[in-house]
Amino acid sequence: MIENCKKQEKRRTSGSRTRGMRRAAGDDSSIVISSRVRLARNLAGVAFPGWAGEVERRMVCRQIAAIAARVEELQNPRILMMDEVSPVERMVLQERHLISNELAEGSDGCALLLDESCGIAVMINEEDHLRIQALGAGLVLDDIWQRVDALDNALDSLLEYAFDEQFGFLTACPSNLGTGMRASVMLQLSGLRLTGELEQVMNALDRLGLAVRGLLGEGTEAYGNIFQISNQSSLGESEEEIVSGLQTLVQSLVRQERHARLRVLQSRRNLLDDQLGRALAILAHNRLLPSGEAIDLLATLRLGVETGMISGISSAALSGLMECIQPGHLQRSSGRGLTPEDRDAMRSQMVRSKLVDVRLSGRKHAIIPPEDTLGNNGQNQSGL
Amino acid sequence: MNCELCNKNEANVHYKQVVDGVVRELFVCRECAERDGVCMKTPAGIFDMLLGGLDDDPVAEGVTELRCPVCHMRESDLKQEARVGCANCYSVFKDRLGGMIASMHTGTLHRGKTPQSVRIRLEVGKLERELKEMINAQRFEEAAAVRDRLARLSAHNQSITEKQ
Repeated sequence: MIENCKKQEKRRTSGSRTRGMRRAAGDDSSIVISSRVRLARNLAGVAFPGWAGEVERRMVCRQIAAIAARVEELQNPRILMMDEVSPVERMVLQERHLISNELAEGSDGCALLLDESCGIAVMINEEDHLRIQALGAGLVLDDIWQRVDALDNALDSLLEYAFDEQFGFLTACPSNLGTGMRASVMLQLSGLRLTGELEQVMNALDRLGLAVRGLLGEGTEAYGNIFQISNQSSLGESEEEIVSGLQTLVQSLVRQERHARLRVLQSRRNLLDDQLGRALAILAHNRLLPSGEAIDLLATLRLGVETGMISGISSAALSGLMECIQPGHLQRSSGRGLTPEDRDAMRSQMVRSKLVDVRLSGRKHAIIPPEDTLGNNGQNQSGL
Repeated sequence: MNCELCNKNEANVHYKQVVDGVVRELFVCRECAERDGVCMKTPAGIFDMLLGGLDDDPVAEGVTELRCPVCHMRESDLKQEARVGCANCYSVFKDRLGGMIASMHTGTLHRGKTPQSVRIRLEVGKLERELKEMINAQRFEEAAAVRDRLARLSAHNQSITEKQ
């Protein structure tokens, strides 16, 4: 199911990237990795999931399952009951940002309603009865808001939502009242880190009432200088105002990041050259690669590709690799449970095999040794 | 259920009091609860309320505790869970949650989407008021047009309710 999703999404995201590049004068996808919009909704007359009993949660789940096939906005929808999904598949869904930590840990009545493309999904019985969400590559907040809005309208015609004229859509946590909307953008701000301006930018975002999180959401580290930026307030503004406010701000951030990268290239090229050289050296010769470090190093290469200092691999391939090397993905592809050390070894080998054609600008030869210099189990035979 | 004191309004406050060791329980409306001093406790600060420690004995002598009559969440549960139990809790704990909501958001009034059924209900209310005014002013032709619109809206609303 998830494999099938992956193929569908690949077709969808590649289309979306092409459309984005045609539409945008400046290509934001070199800095903005992805966009996401979610709406929190609850059913009227039913206790919210955290307070409801198992019977009520299962009833909500059955109600959603019963109407799913009638929702035209979902193509060939499937419901994945969390208590029937293996721990590894849960990790994969989480790493692909399709489910939250809370849903991954949930059981009774917790489910994911997923359409064929995996680009739009509904978490059932997470903190709220429904979390309707869509994801897209690049800065595509408007597009995905339209898709989420359409699905929300379709569900609204089949279900009765808990709503109050003053507080809007009623949610388990008061922080989601009103529109129930969180719009977020994941972007890489390595240029601002290198110029030393990142902290200043983060403080400004905080003052503007935006939440800044790491790669895997709340409480996670910003490996690779990759951040998720989202609105915090959901009451008092319309959905369109929230989306356009975040879009404008991200466009401004993209301009600042682009200028920072240009300044580094013009006046501190050695610094960037040094970082890329170090990243490649570690990637070439390590044999145990933890996921956080891998994201850091691959994000550095991504910066190298975007600044024209690295060739032999695309930025999209590096983004894809960052996903494939996460613990759940590795365990699924190996078909068995792996210890953390096994995972680090497998990740190390996988990354090296994907980077054999990578070259630093101005150098003739590849830096990563080809796989034939390695033993069967990834052990280095060259004495390096 | 109706308020056990005035027997008019809907009961949305669960009133629990211990007097001389005897627990007295009542389901009352907000108005009666306020009149009787049930909601007279000083409103706690936002984070104090949601993140602060729980009282050891929330139903101490002479102290009352708010409780949602729909999902039975008590104020002490709200403190512990830091989440409300159901939609009705927003009405029961409105005084407690108001300050926190204001501090979390840009505004205190929803300005976004409205569910289809609510939009229709608001439109029906508006048209009914217009109809009344037109009849009083003997503008019967205009009133007939408004009446037809009301009939169409009611039919539409009926079809939505059936789907749900």
